[in-house]
Amino acid sequence: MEELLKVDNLVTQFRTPKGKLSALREVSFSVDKGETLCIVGESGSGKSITSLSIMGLLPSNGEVSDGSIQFKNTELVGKSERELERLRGNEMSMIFQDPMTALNPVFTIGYQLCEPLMIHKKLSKKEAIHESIELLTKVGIPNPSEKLKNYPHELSGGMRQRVMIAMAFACEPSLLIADEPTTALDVTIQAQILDLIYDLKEQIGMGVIFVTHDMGVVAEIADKVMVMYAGEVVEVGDVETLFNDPQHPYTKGLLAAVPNVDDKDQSLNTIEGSAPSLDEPINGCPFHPRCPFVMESCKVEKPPLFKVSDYQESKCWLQEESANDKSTVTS
Amino acid sequence: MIGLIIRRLFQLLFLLLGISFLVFMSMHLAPGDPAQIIAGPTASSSDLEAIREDLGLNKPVMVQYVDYLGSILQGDFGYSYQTNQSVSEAILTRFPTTVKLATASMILAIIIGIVAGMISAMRQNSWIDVSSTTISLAGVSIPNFWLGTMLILLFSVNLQWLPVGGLTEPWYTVEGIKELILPAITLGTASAALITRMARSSMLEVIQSDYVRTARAKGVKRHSITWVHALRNAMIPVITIIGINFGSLLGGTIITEQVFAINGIGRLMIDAIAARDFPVVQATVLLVAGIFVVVNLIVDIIYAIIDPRISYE
Ligand SMILES: Nc1ncnc2c1ncn2[C@@H]1O[C@H](COP(=O)(O)OP(=O)(O)OP(=O)(O)O)[C@@H](O)[C@H]1O
Ligand SMILES: [Mg+2]
Repeated sequence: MEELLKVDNLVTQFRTPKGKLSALREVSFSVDKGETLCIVGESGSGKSITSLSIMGLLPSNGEVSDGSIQFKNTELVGKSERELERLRGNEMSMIFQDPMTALNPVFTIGYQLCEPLMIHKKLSKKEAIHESIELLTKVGIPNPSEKLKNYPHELSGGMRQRVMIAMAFACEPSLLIADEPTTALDVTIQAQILDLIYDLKEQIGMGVIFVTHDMGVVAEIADKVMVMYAGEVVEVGDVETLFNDPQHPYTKGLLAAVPNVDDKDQSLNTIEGSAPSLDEPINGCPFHPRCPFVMESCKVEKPPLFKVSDYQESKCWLQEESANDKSTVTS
Repeated sequence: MIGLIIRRLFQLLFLLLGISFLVFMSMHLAPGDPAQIIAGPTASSSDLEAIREDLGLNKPVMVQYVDYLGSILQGDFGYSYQTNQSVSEAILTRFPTTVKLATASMILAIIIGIVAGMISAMRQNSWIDVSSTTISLAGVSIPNFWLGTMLILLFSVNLQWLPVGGLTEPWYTVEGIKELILPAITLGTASAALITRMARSSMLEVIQSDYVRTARAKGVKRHSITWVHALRNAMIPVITIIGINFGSLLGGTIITEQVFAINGIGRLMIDAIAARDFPVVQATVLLVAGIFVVVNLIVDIIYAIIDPRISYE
């Protein structure tokens, strides 16, 4: 498979009153053409910041301070705002969590939808309107030519998210980043929006980074899953392997916390404790205070990302143990 | 929208009725006898009585008020006690001057305020931002009369660049503009400062909003983010402030007209109050109140044009 995006040792920091804090610490992963990568992890683990770093849309006090982001074999870190503007909305697009605030309240849907078409595809106003109507039809909005004249507040949350999706797909990007695009919506709408993104993705054949809390969604759409904890990648793997044979104790905890409808008597397992905040000093593995398998080495030294198989990597000292076991067995 | 306008005009009618009553009563209950002022300190009591009879001042106050309302409704605002000039005429000759002063100050304040506020916000914490924030803090706290006096001392008395006072030439002539500069700055400074502060904070909030991020995610260029996506949203609270501030701007014209010896409505009103010239006081106060309401109606209309979420149905 052809590589679309390659993120290498990405470090993103924020200037805060408490000094410079790292929200992402040496995050590495890749997305192939047409592949769907799901990023999971609890709140504050750095999922959104990973997405925004790629798009070059970090809040004003944040910056990528180390590492590289290669998109279609060109480096994005250090690119000027001008150059990024040419990519954004064109080669890569993003859908945000909250459709209620993501659209500009003082412009019509039509204006906002025509914008990327006129900027990137250099369409005339008339052509852009024509194209917008088609896009709205594609995302399942009834009466598209009427809707173009509406303002965002005249549409429901689900409809607004469809508009956001139409905007993101307008220039048929090769990478779509969707940051919890269904979290703010009703359950019934969630499924529709998910299907819509999936269908469009299949049509265009683009790579997708999908951020979510919902393991059910992951199982449904992911090719590959990346688990984040406290600004780091703790496990990556393809979706079957990761669900059937999670290696990292944190991943195991996340999967155990998913309710199972077949098992009514199941007691829901939650992971005790909470993730460290950005300004807390971390010794050893960031997960060790909450880890049921904690060992002495975990408190002292941070584990590297161990290769479990061709399809799976895990950042946990247990991996080293089992690797040693294997080597002792074979020798 | 039409509904809003009609409703507001009705409100205006009642408001003017209320104001006329209050002003009428306060003028008549306040100490100071117009007859005495007209006739001078040496007048005999029979002279005074004759004057009162003539002006209708010896009727009961309520009767006087009703008579007054009756004549207003016929468009007759009476005659000045001091000059015998018709009040409508006195107002009509002075009104354009005040409108010129207020409009110039307001335009100055809006342009300076919005531009300075936007630049401040776009370059947060730069020296431009710090100086504009400091100047605008000073600007809101400087009293009109002091600023006016200082400007006259500097630019008219010392440097002799601009006239000391008066506002009589048409605004589109060089002389007219020169006359207008100092009074417009004097009257507009406080509003400019207020608008700057509001525009800055509102802009700072808007550029961090989700929809600005969405616009950037679409690849919209930086300058159109600022001047198209952000500006229009940032203006919503600024327009509110402009509307609220207009009242104090009108109040400021009174002082500014005094300082610069400008024959406008403000001065007419002050002189009339001093002389207990009831008809002139009534008419000028009603006029100012009416302007205030109409300007706020205009603000509300602009508001609805800028922000589609606002509907006055
Ligand atoms: N502007 C900022 N300044 C300082 N810290 C920030 C800023 N934005 C985010 N952070 C911090 O960066 C960390 C990662 O945040 P991020 O938004 O990526 O979390 P997330 O995984 O998306 O969580 P959620 O599931 O709640 O969306 C958090 O600890 C957050 O507090
Ligand atoms: Mg997030």
